[in-house]
Amino acid sequence: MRLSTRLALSGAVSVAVVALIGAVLASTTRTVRRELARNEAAGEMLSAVTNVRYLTLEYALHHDERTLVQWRLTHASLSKQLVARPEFATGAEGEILARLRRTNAVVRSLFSQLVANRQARDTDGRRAAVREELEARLTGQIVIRLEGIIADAFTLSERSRTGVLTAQRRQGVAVGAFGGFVLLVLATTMIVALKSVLRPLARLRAGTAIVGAGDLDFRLDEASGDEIGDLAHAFNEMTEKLRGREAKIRRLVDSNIIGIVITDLEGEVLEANDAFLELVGYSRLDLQSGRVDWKRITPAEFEGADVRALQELRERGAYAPFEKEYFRKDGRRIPVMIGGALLEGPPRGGVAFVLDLTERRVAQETLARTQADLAHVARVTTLGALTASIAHEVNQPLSGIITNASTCLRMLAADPPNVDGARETARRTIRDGHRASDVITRLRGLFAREGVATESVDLNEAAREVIALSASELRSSRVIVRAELADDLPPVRGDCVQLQQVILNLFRNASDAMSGVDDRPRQLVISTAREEGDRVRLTVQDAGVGFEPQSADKLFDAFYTTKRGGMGIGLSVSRSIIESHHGRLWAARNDGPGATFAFTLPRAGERAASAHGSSAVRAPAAADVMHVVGSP
Amino acid sequence: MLVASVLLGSSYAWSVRRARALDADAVDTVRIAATAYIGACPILMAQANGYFASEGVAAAIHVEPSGKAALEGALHGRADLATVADVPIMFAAVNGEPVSVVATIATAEKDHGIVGRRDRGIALPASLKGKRIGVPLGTSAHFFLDAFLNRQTLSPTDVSLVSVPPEELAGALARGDVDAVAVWQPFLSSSLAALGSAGVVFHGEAVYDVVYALAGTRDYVTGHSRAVQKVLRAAIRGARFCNETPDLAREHLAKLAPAGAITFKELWPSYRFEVALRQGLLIALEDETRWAMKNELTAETDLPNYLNNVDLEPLRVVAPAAVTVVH
Repeated sequence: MRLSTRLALSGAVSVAVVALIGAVLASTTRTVRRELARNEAAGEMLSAVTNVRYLTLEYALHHDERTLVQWRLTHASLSKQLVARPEFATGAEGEILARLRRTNAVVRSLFSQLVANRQARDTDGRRAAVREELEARLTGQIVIRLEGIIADAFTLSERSRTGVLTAQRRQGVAVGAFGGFVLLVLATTMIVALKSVLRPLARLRAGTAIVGAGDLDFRLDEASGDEIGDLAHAFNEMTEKLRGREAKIRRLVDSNIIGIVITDLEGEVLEANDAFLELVGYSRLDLQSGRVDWKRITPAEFEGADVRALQELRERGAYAPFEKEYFRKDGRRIPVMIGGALLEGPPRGGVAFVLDLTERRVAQETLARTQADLAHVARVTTLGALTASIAHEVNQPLSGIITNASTCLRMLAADPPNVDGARETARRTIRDGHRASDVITRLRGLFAREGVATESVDLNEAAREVIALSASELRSSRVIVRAELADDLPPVRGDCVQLQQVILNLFRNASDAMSGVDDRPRQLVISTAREEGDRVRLTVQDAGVGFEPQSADKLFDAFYTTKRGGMGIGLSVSRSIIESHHGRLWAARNDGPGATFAFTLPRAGERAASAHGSSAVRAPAAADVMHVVGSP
Repeated sequence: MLVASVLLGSSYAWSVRRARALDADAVDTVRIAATAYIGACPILMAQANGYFASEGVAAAIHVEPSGKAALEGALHGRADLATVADVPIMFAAVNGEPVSVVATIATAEKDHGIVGRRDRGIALPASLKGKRIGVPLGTSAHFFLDAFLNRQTLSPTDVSLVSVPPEELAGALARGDVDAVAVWQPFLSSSLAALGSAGVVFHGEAVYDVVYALAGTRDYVTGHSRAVQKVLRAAIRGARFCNETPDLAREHLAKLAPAGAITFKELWPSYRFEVALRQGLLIALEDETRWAMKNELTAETDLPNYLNNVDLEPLRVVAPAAVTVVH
């Protein structure tokens, strides 16, 4: 049974018993009071009848008037007492009182006869002797009856005294019972408190000391279902959690995955795990001998950061992780990330978690190099893929030149020479020569530039050049290109060739995605637009096979591809290029067939825009649509 | 040592207490001579209800025709105790018998009376003057008549006393041999019945209350105090039974004396059953003694000290408040 239930029950029982005892005491007190009143009344009767008896004898002795008056007064008082006595109105006492009244009446009558007999004066000696005998007999009868009254009054007194004693005995029993109950309650409470509360609490206190001393295997064996049992259960659960937590911390410390250092609030190293010691190249002996000095292993340029971290630790209880470097024992520097929190004392201190960033830094550098290599590979791959197209582009004007030159020669060799025709064909030859030159110029641009050049770039112009460059290939793939380039597109700042490479890559992906499409037009829509926040967006939408929703996150991963024979680097490199231009590249599925790839870039600054605006921007036609028809 | 002393003391106290308990538990045989009359009700009911047995008394009740005969039985060793009225006790005491009263057990106010013939001019107590009155001389009826006449300020010489045995009084009165009779119950009722409406009865007021007592020889009472105490305890219970359940008591009594059943019911209210020793007993005995001496019913002329004929101790042990004899 729970302690609260026990207490409630004992409280209810106590209240009931106290109420019962109180009722008994109140009843007994009333009884005592009533019996005392009865006893007092009986005492008054006794006193009165005793006086009457005395006065009767005195009258029989002296026959004087004074005694007679006193007798009558006293007897009247006795009669009055016998008449008005509600204390003895019922039961056996009522019968006694009735008998008293009867006897008292007889006494009065006899005394009257006594007085009359005394007052009658007989001179005759014989009669006088009769009266004398009568007086003696009347006196005797009166005394006998008064004795009867005394006995009855004494009986009443005795009954009331017995009543008082009984009530007092009952009161004593009640008080004794109450005392006994109080003692019982006290004893029970003490036993319960000792057994159910104090002893378990003592064990709990001892257990707290044991657990506080570090013995987390200690358990309280308290199986009771009361609050103490709950407390013990909670204590055991707490110990269990503490043990689990300490085990986690111990595993963390012992696992040496991360360096852990415990310091005082001034930064002095108090304890460290093997991972940290290995990180800084010191031994545990070095630590114990105080050679692992925080300031000594921290380069001067990071002392300020350390001071700020300690200040934050003291003020907020923790400090945000930050990167710094340590001097290893061999003098080499090692990059780390360190974060920490306050340890509640005493003594107060902090625990710091030290992560070795060497591998991350190497990985970052490797990644940067890999990305650069990939970009180069992608560019070369892209250019290789364009070779056929370029050759075709170059070959066309060259064929035109040859044809026109041949036509010009034939016209000049005619008789008469067709000078006008030759002149026209010569102009065509020149035009085709320029076309070839343009192709070469663009080609050179792609090959010649290396690294990221920063310049103002008109994305509309860059898009048109890519369209022109890839027109032949797209035609061969029966792709219809529609350009929806914004009129007032602000320039962006970046490397035009890299951005064109991204656009070209998106074109190729779109073309590849639509290579198997025969039931609908293989339409590619390229569009540009100004976005809020001074950003510019370029979108390439196709009607190809699209991609699965679950592939959306992977599309830009390196070496992830959905195309047969693909390398999976195009989109990865493209995202790297866009992000290096502070932009964002993403893909989305169309409502209908196909997918949409888009990137946004920040617009160039005003000065850059004004400086390069005239040369970089060419006003495109609204809804400028280029239909690239495949080669026959 | 201390432990041994305590053990020894405890053992002695236990043995003494045990011996007393055994003594108290022993059954005492008591022979009681009693009349089959209302005045002996407490003793008869104690026997009928087993109060004697429960108090540790093996009581043997011998029913005697009169209290005088019962007392003689006790005085002559045929019984240990006797239920007897005050007058026989007085005569025994005056005559030097070693009678000892241990308690009174009942008093009756109207047990005695006078029945007169109206045709002889007897209508009021005072009209007894000059009349022939039949009475068993030397009995309580004689004493009552003396006291009654005295209450009327008449002398015994103012009337003519005719000695008539009690059982013959009714006939004598009916025949007109006497003008009135003085007698006790149930002869009083039979005398009145013999006259019918021609008779008149006088009891007087507080003239004479018959006292029924339990008495034995002085030697027996003194030597058997424990047994007497047990008898008194049973008698107290019997008196309570007689007071509180009169119908049952009369029923029991009627089995012993079937002829008196009707009279018992009539007289019962005038009886008071109480085991006591009152100072009034001594006064009554002395008054009766003076009467006996005046009428030369005894040769003794010195008033005896009736304290010698009363043993207060047993009742004082059993019921102290019941003893009002000044002692």
